[in-house]
Amino acid sequence: MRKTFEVIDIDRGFRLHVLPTDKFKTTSVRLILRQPLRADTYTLTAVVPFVLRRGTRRLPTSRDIARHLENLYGAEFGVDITKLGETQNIELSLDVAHDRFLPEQLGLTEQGLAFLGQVLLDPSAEDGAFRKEYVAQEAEALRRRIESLINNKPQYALNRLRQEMCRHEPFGLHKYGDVDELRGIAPAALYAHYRHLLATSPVEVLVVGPVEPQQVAAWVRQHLSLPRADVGEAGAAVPVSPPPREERTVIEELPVQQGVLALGYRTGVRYPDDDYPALLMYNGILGGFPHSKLFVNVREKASLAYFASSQLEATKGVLTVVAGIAVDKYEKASAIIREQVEAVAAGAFSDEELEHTRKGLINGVLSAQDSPGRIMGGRLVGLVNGRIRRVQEVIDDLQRVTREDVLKVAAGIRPDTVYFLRTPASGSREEGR
Amino acid sequence: MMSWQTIYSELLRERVVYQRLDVGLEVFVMPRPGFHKRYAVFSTRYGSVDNRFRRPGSGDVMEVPDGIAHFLEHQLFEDEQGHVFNAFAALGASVNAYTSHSMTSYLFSTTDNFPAAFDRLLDFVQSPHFTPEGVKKEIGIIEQEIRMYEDQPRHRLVMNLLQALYHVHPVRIDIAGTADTIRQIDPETLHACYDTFYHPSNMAIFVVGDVDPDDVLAQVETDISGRGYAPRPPVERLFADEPDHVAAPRVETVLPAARPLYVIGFKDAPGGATGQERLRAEVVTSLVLSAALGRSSRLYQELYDADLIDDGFSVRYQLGPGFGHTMIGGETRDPDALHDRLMAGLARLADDGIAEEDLVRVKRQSVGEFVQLFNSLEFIANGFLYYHFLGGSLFSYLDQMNTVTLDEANRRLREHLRPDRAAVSIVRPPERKA
Repeated sequence: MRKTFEVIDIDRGFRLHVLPTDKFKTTSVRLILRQPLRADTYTLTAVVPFVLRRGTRRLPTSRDIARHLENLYGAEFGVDITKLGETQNIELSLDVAHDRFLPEQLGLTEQGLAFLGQVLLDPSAEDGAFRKEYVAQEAEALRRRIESLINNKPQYALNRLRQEMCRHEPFGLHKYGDVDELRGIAPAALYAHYRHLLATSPVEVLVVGPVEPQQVAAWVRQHLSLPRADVGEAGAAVPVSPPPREERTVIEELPVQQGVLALGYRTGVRYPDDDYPALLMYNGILGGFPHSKLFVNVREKASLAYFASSQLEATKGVLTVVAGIAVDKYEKASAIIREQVEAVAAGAFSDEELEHTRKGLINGVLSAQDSPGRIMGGRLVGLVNGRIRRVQEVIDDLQRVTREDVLKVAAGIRPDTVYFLRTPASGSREEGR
Repeated sequence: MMSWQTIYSELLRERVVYQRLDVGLEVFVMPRPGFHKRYAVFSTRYGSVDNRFRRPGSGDVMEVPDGIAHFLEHQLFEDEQGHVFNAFAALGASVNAYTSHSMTSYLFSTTDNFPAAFDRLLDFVQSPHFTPEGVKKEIGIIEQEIRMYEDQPRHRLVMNLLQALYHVHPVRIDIAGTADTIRQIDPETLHACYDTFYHPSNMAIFVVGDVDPDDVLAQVETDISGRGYAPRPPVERLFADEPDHVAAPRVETVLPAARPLYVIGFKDAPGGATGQERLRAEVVTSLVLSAALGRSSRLYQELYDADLIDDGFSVRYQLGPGFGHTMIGGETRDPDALHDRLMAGLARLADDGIAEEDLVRVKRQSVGEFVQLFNSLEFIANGFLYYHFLGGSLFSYLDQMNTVTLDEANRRLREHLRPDRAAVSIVRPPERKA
């Protein structure tokens, strides 16, 4: 198998990336329209793919689309928004079983691309507007999705933390838009925005499967002929970062069985930076693995939590820590978490912790190559950040990271915001936010 | 060369090789050259439903606290030298485990040092180390795990449904137990459960990735032969008789949630069917559910257009020892309206029957989806053992599906999705003050 994608220019700001491989049973396609995450457009941008998936001129209802996909041997079709740093990316995805594993040869890869072309370029619309009921239904569905985040408390807490932490930065915006703006989406304005996106968004088509790149390029030119104009900015620029400030604490009360404590830090280092591999090591030592300081000290030694870990959003340069704890253990758990952050900064980690983390990260990088979804996800991160890191390059870089490199990164980690979701103190009977 | 039995799938062009050791341990290997990752899972037929059984040897009947199978899974990660997680981390391997209603599985994946990591897996699963201190520590951790689930409205919705569907079958018990039941667990009871269910005759191993089956088997044989197991008859589980009818037709609760949640369950007739027959029932039921309520169905479109369901609407059949049921539901603005429309739609379908062309189409869909699943080494290993423990075979799934007839599908539709075998669970958010 080729180790890297072959890149073919299709049109202005429209590139095809093909990774030919026989390893998988499928051909996987991701079609991405890249946009900066901006307060004035993010709600409209979020609604576009969800309305597109409702119907095309030839397949006008969801039911028609579902039948079509079932006939393509259960082709998996989906749309979503991927937020990476301060970019908002529209993703149309399609996975089809490869013909060689099916009882008949239908040319599913080409049929899949043709279907994506129909969805993107030939939606069910009339008189320069999307269908009213589709716009209303899908905007409402997104509003509910945002509100339903409360059903998953750890995710809710992490989202609220990022929102509070970056309330004056685009990164604090929800990828699915603003709940109030979602109530009043005009079908004509949405359609105009969609046409603008088709003309000006940087477009990437990623394909992984047993395919021949030039053949795929021919299909893409045939089925995905976009009405291009001058291509705009996709937001690869360095994200906004506030000046150093005092740590802020936000406490929210809901009737919960378990408190969720989330801490946010600014890393100073981002994905395109040369120190990025050292940042990966830092996060791994602190809380990325079951051998990490957070898991060992918060869960295994203090028996305070079932989950305690750290996560990195390297396109933005934000590190988060999250733990589910008994509400009355807030002080104790915060103290232990802070001690771990300070311990790493003070160099209080063993060579064993360093090496275990290095091996764990390399294992993760190689394992990702066994999944088409993760291969394509990694490619998108590289494209958005304007720096493609090849697999072997990342592994070599990780091999070279020293204790001093980790300490240098640790010195730049700044606490920013603490968020705690807790049940109301006994006696308090107030409701609402 | 050791003599392997081979299970081959024409469609997938994949083979699984299989051996059964003298002490009863079953070993499966699926070579997948080209993958970086090697994935191994070591499973026992022991889950949350195995809470009453006869002890091998003495024959004494034992009844154990709810949640002990899951507790035991956590405790096996304790060993004398330090933490099991560390031993895997040293090899660059990622280790984990899970407990379901009917099985407990220990697994790892690694791109390097496979033999050493596999040795560690074989060893830690067979080296119980239960101490009062370890048990005490685990209670704190698992109590937080239980609290986490309690804060998930969906988890509560399903637990309430299972308690409405079943009178006595232990599938109605939460896999993790409760904060109270886990406090009744002690090292002695853990040992009794371990001795009963962690014998090789009750266990199986699946390895998938770029490995040589002979090497895998040699490693297993060396490990097992050094542990002095004696052959043993199957464990006798004692299930109380579960009536055909549901325990309660409807259960509602109030919880902080964004919107109301609704689920309806259809209880399958329990019975002494063979594993293959039960697997057949699952295959037929899945096709029936796709035709009746899949995205291309009239009923799904109706419910979606009436704003009664959304993308999260889910339909599935769940099968295990002594139980089987279909669950249909999701978030909704109006649980009662959803219930009425759904029941009317199912009644209409029972009258009309599934159309031939719909069955043909959902079969095509299922074939393609099944093929796609084989990209995932995790699915292959866990799915294979799951069906194997039920007495079926993952590889026969497609053959089974291809032979389902329209008559069979319609018979299943009418006998299974019956209002008199249904229970409903609803979670509502608190009333908002004006």
